[in-house]
Amino acid sequence: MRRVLFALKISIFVVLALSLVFLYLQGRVAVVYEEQYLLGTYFRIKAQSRSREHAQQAIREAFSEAQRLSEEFSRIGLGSLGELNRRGVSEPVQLSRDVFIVLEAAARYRQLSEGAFDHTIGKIIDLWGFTQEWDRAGVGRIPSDEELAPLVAEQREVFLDPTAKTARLANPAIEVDLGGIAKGYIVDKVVEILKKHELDRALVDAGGNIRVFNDRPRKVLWFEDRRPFRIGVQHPRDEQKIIGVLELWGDRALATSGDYQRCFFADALNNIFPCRYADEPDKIRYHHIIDPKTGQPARGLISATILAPTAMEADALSTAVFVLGEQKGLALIESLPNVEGILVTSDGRIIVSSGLKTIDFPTKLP
Amino acid sequence: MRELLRAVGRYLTWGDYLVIALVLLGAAATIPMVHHGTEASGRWAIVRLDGQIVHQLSLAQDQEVRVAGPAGETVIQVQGGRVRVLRSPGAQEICMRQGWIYKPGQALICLPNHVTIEIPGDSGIDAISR
Repeated sequence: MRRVLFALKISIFVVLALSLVFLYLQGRVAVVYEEQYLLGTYFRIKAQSRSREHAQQAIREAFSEAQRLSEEFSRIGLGSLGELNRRGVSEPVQLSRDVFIVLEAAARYRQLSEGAFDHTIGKIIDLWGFTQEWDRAGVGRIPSDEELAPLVAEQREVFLDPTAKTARLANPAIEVDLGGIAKGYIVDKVVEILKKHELDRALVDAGGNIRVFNDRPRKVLWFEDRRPFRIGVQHPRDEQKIIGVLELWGDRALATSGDYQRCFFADALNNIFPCRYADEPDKIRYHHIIDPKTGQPARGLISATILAPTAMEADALSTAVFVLGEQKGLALIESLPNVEGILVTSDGRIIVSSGLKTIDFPTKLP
Repeated sequence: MRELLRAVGRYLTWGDYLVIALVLLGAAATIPMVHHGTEASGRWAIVRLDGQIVHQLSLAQDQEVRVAGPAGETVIQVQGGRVRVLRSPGAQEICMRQGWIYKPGQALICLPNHVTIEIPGDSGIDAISR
């Protein structure tokens, strides 16, 4: 009897002591969340690490890099991209390493999408009023055919010299706008820094341009706490709703292009009304995703969400697929490895690519 | 059962009771640490200007606060446990049209004036791709 009770006593103590260790280890996780206003949008980083100071240090470094890059990629700023736009027609302009890498990538996506993604149409976008100052000014205009036609018809070529890291613009109709790709590149750079600091998991969100990594699941003794990141996909016609949730494991990026982000409405008399998610009766929506072949806002899709290995790829492809439309867009997605997509058509159908068929998404806009 | 309890009671010394008490106390002390990792949630709205927290508003108290941002003044109203933006500069008036928010995880974003209002907490979703 004594021996049994002694064993009982010891085992109770062991269980209590173990649960103490368990609780202690579980408590040793810090989630740090910070946001900054950058690139005309909110840039958020949510990171998890063993210590708060460690995560904060990594986030500080990441934000200062993002800040530096956002100045580099301003198409009218003092960085080398601004330089290229100012004097690139007359002479080759020396580019910074980052700008050159993204310009090369942009040329690749332009070719891959047969011109649906096009970084040379800055002047056409300006005509519609979708400038960098859009958030403050906020009202666009409908350009006339006389204004648009010469810019659309022009051969817009950017000549790159990979050895000298210079670029030259073929003619004055070109203004290089990396808005559809640079944000993704910056998100990737930020993730690179967070990974260098060996954070456990993190989410970087630049205005809906998202990349997550889940490198080291939180471990409590032998128990691995594996959790995905849960990302909602915006409902294109109702700001308060999402059309579904994607669970992301490991290292993954996604981006959405939609006709509700920067837009305006015009009535029959061409009076302009502010952008909103819901459609306006008897008014036409004009938005910022311009089809380079027509100079007009792309029609057919109202939202395109792309899942890809990197944020830059997701960013560029979401624009390309939006412009390409349902059939060609879906074909492009299916032709690329590790790329998936969710498309919403203007008649409210939701189409998912082959790799997402197992995910529970509605087939029509709710 | 009673037999067993009596036997256990006879067998435990005052030292055993002391150890049990200490272990339980220690366990109680770690309870706050379990919640340490998660963000403070509850009936609060956090107002940020350029990413910096400028107000933490209790939703239990009806009030109106003004935040001066780069484009002008954003007026935020708390009433009956909900928050909304009454006035904020910007042509699109997106954050005003969003109306009231009251659930954890909800947020109002006034982009032109660099102001965000967030009710912290877990909505089950980490981010929204838009």
